[in-house]
Amino acid sequence: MKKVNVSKESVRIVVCLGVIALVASLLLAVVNLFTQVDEAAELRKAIGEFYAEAEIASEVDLKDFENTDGTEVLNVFVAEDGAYIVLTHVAKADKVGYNAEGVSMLVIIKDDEIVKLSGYSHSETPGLGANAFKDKHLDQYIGLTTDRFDVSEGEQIVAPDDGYFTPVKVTSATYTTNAVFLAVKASVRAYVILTGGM
Amino acid sequence: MAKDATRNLRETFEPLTSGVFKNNATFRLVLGTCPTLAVTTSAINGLSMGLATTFVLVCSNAIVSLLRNFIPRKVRIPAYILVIATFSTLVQMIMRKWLPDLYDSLGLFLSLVVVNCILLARAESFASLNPVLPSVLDGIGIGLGFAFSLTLLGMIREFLGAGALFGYEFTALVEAGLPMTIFILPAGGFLVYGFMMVIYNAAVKAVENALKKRAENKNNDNDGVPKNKNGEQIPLILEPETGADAIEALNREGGDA
Repeated sequence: MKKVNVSKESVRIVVCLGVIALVASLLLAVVNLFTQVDEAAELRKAIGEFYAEAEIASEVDLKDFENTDGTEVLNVFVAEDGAYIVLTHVAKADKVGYNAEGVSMLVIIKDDEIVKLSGYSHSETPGLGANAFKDKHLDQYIGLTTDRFDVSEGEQIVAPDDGYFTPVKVTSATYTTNAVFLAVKASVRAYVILTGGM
Repeated sequence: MAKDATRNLRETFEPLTSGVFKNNATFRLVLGTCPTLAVTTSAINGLSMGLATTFVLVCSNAIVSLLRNFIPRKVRIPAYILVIATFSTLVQMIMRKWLPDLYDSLGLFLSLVVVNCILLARAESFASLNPVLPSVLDGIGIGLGFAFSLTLLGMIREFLGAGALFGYEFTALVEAGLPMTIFILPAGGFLVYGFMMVIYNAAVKAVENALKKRAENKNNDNDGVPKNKNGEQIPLILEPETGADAIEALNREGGDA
C-alpha cells in the first residue's frame, strides 16, 4: 500500500482554517439565538400598530389561493370589526428596466372600501422611489371601492378612460408607483375572492 | 523620559488620527467606492453603512492581528475573508433584528461589506503586521473616516436631491421645487463625490502645509538658533564690519592675519 505523504504545512493550513471556521460558526450560532426574527410576530405587531381600531380575529388560509403573475398575497387577516388586512408582495412591477422589486404593501379593506394602506417593506431610494410610499401619494387610494379595480386582469395596469381607477404617478418613481398600484390591486382581488365576490 | 512617553503615545495613536484625515479611505485612498456611491442617497444610510463598516473593520483588524502568527502565509487571504465575513454577518443579524428599516434600506450593500476592499486592505497591509492595539486604532480611524465621508456625501446628496436632512424634510424647499433629483441618482453621486474629493484634498494639503510651516517656525524659535526643516542648524556667517574688526577677531583666535 502506498504511503500518503502529508506535509506539516498542509496540516497547519487545514487546522488553521478549520479552527477559524469552527469558532466563526459557533459565534454566529450564539448570536442567531438572540437575533432570530419571528416574522409572524413582527407582522402581527406591525398590524397592531397600524390598525389600532380592532384586534386581529383570525388569519385566512391561503393554501388554495391563486396569485396573479408578479404579485403574491402573503397573509390575509380578518379583524374583529370585519376589516380585511391584506399583505401583498410585488415581485415584478414591469417586464423591462428597473422593476421596483420587493415592494410589500399592507392594505386594509372594510365594507368593499379601502380604508387604510401603507408600505410594509421596500428598499426604494429615499427621496426618489420611497416618495411613492408617502401619505400624499397613498391617500389617492383611500375611500376607493373595490369595483374601481379591474381584478379580472392580472398584472396589467389599466389604461385611463375605461372607468377603472388609474393612480397619479410620482415623478421619477414610475415603477414604484406601478408596484404600489399592483399591490393594492392584488389585495383588492384577494378581498373580492375571499369574500365570495368572484 | 516624559518626552519619550509622549512620543510613544503619539506614535500609538497616530493610526487613529491619520485614518480619519490623512488616509481617509473615501477621499484620499479612494477605496470602497461602490458602497459609497450606492448608499449615500441619504445621510442616515451613509452614517449607518459607515458605522457598520467601522464595527466590522475594528473586529476583523483585532482578530487578524491576534492570529497573525498563527495563520499560514499561503492561506492568509481566505482566512481574512472568513474573519471579515463572520463579523459582517453578525452586523446583518443585529441590524435585521433591531434596525429592520435600515436593514431594508441598505439591502444588498450590507452583505457586500465582506468584499469591501478597505477591510481586506487594512487586514493585509496593517493588522497582519502590527500588534492588536495599533490595529484596533487603525480600524477605528479608517472606519470613522469612512463613516464621516459617507455621512457627508449622504447629507449633501439628500439635501440637494430631496430637500431633506436625516429624513427631516424642509417643506419650503420641496414646495418651491428646489431639490434636484439628479443628486440622488448615480450621476449625482459621481458629481458630488468628485467635487468633495477635490475640496477635501485641497483642504488637507492646505492644513498640512500650514502645520509644516508652524513646525519650522517652532524649530527656529526654540533655542534662538535657526534650523532648516530637517532640524539641522543653519550655519551663521557673521561678516565683520571692518577690516580692523576682522584682524582683531583673528588675533583673538590665535590665527594669522
